[in-house]
Amino acid sequence: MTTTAAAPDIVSAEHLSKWYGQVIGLNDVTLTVPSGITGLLGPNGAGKSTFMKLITGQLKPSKGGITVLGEPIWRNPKLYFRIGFCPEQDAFYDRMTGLEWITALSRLNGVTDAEADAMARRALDMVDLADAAGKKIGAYSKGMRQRVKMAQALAHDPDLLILDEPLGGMDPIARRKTIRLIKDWGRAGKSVIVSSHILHEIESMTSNILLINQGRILAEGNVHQIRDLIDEHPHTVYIKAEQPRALARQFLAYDDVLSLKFEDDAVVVQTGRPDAFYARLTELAASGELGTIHEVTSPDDNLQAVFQYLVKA
Amino acid sequence: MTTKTRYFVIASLLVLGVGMGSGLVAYYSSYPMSAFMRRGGPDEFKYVPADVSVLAYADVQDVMHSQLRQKLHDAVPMSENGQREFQDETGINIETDIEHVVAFAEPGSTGGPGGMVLARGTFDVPRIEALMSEHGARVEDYKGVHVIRVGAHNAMADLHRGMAPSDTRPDRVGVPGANDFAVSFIEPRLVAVGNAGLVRAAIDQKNSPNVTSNEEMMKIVRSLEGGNAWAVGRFDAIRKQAHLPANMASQIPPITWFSISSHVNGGIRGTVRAETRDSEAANNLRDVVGGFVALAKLQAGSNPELQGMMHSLDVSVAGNTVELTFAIPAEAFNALGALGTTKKPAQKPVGPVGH
Amino acid sequence: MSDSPRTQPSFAASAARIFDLSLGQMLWSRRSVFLALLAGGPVLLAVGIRSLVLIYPDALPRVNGALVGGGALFGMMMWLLYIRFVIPVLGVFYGTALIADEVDDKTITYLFTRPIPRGAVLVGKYLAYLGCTILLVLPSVVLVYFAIVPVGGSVGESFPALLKDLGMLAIGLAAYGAVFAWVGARLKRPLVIGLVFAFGWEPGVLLFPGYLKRLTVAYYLQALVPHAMPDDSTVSVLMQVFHEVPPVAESLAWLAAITLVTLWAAGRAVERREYVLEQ
Repeated sequence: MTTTAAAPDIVSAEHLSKWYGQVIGLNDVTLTVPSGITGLLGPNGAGKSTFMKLITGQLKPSKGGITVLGEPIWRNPKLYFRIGFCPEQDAFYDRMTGLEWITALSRLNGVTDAEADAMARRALDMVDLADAAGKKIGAYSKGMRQRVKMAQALAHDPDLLILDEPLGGMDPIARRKTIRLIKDWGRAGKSVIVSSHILHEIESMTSNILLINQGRILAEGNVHQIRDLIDEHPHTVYIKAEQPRALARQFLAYDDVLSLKFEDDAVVVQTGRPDAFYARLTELAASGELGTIHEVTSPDDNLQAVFQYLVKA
Repeated sequence: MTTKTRYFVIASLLVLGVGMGSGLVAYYSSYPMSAFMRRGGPDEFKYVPADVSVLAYADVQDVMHSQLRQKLHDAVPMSENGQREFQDETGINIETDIEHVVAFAEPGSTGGPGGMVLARGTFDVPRIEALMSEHGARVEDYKGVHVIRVGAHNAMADLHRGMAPSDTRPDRVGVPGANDFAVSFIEPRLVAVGNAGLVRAAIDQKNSPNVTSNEEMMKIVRSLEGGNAWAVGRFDAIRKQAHLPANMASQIPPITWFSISSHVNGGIRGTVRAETRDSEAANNLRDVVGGFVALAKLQAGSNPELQGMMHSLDVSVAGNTVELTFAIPAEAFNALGALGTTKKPAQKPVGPVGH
Repeated sequence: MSDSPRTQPSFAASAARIFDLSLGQMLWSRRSVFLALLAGGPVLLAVGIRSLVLIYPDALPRVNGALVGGGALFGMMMWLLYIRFVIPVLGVFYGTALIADEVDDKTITYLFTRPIPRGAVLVGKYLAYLGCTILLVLPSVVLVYFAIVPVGGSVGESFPALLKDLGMLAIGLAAYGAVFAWVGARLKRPLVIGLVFAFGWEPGVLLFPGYLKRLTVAYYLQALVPHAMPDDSTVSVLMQVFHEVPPVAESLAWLAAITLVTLWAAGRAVERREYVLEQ
């Protein structure tokens, strides 16, 4: 582990721009990301993924410069010893088992087969997938796929973990465990950059937030004001569950639930207090009283409204 | 690598391994004497009549790729125009396109080509047919196979004119134009060139006895181990064909069979064998050959390369077989080349004459 | 940070690990059926011919009036099926897809965020392609050989030709794979361009005299074929008319140069190119 007393900047960008032909992905961004956990918050299309790809060396800056852990990242593969990246896309080698896949990727770090196997098993254990290690990834649920993606990022015990929308599709229990895992990681002196379009997810991990929209950084630091703004707007939650109607009946008793509707085997809820709602939902999932909750996602409509307000302001 | 992939790799390598192993076994069991010849001789033997007087074989590829050939090529840079011209005309690259050649002569062949050459290789058939037609040859159809006839006679003309065939051998009587020269691609990648009657007989050969049924000859062929060029012949048949005067014929040793086998690689290593009527004749022959060898060694003089070659000559006799072994190193060819060039008259340089 | 070593694996070791990871991916991918057809089709055809000849001995085709033996038939199959079709098709479809498949599947991220050079990813995947195709095509040829050659031919006598065929096919797969890996790494719409090159440019140029044919892989590859070129069609006859055969050593040298240069160029292109995955 690389620990320094001065807590150096993890990422440093100078007039960083990236455009794809005529489309601007990131526009003249200058920032520093300190060590610890940092949340990158922004609606879809805000430039989060572009920023993530730039700090993981997948894209080359069109203009300006970027350093990660003190070194330029583009065409510097050695730096990947210290970085673990969990991409947003739900893409895997579906025919491999979780263990085979993570072992194969770990071997690319130059370790022996036995070491790679041990690293993979440890990582799967950390994300609670030890029991499913021998199962084909193609047969994993959405949440399990998210977790195995996390496992491949942290298998080689990196100094910096970059997580692009890591909680999307996870069930409440896995979500809680993953949040705890990320916080433990930060407490252990490691750094994490995590992107999301759900403020309360980010808030549950860190108070250090980068707000991004339309390719620009709107705000950075401890943004309590954002929280207040969020609370003024209803928050939509999509819950895919075994018994959506039973869940809906339960939700009707909550005073923060503003509306309910059904979509196939899911229930879509609008809440005025997302924190309280998510806490109760996690308890419900843990008790198992109303069947299994498979997937919880949140569209970014509510956040978009907040950003519109911020841009106008 | 997943277990399924590992099984696939093993299965694939197994198929390859078993295939290669079986192929190798088939190859070596088909070629017990050397890499060039099968137990029953090359496949072309099925086109060789049982009663041939001389049978020869050459592995052209082996000879062309030999070190000796390379050395000769480097030492005596020959003009490649002729070879190139031949290739341009026929499409045949002698260096690469011909694999091996089997040649034979029949007893009693008189006038014109009395034998046939069978060459295995890659040929541009339409091109060769067209070229020969341009040069006056006629393409005829014989039992569904094209026969390209060259010469004064051709079968149709003979038949039309009602002429008696020129070949008077009992088995060739009635075969019109049998003594003409003919070419036929009797199999894909196999060309027969020679006496028209023999070419037709080769096309007919399917059920007739071939040379592989001639045990006496095949026994000698099988004894020629390791050579990439060889010839076997019935000496008495050749002597009869030569129509020598009686007093000259009586001076020739009573040899029944002869064989020459050589292996061309860095140099030429070979054996000449002659089987005589009896052991007395063998001893006499050994004395005659020994005398010639001694004379040659004397003639070699002080030339170390030629001396080396001469010292390799060895004559031995076993029963009624006389054997002469020799080894000609590549250097000997240099010496022979040098001898050849010194005998040439010096040419005046051509150029402007100064005043 | 863990105690695991942080020494970057060598280029060769990285490529070997990518090979290990990718071989199974290629074998059991969505192209598996296509691959099985290409490798298994000729075997089925050969078995069919063998069965037919067993039932009807005169069923073998005739050339110039003479029955075509098993050896010659095998030679024709080598030319018409493997040299002119299977090898270029495998080269085009797999060579151009070495990186493109990972990009389409969005799995390239996992490979490009590891401490190995991107060039090693390409080389490892190229080796996987080579292993995968060689492991499929060569056994297929061996099976065709043992099914066809015994029909009026000698397995032992033709065996050296089989060895040459196997070597030639492996070299062909290597050369075509490298060329199309470069096309795939460098150009957009690589499949279309690859197909045009393999089935438009190459046969087209070989029909005419001149130096253009030197800009093909087939020109050099055909010099290694130990069988006579069949004259099954007008195009084949034209090809035969302008058929030039460079010396074997020269062809081998050119094929090696084509393979190494295009592979190097492909690696360089992958190192420098940005891959924007569609969200």
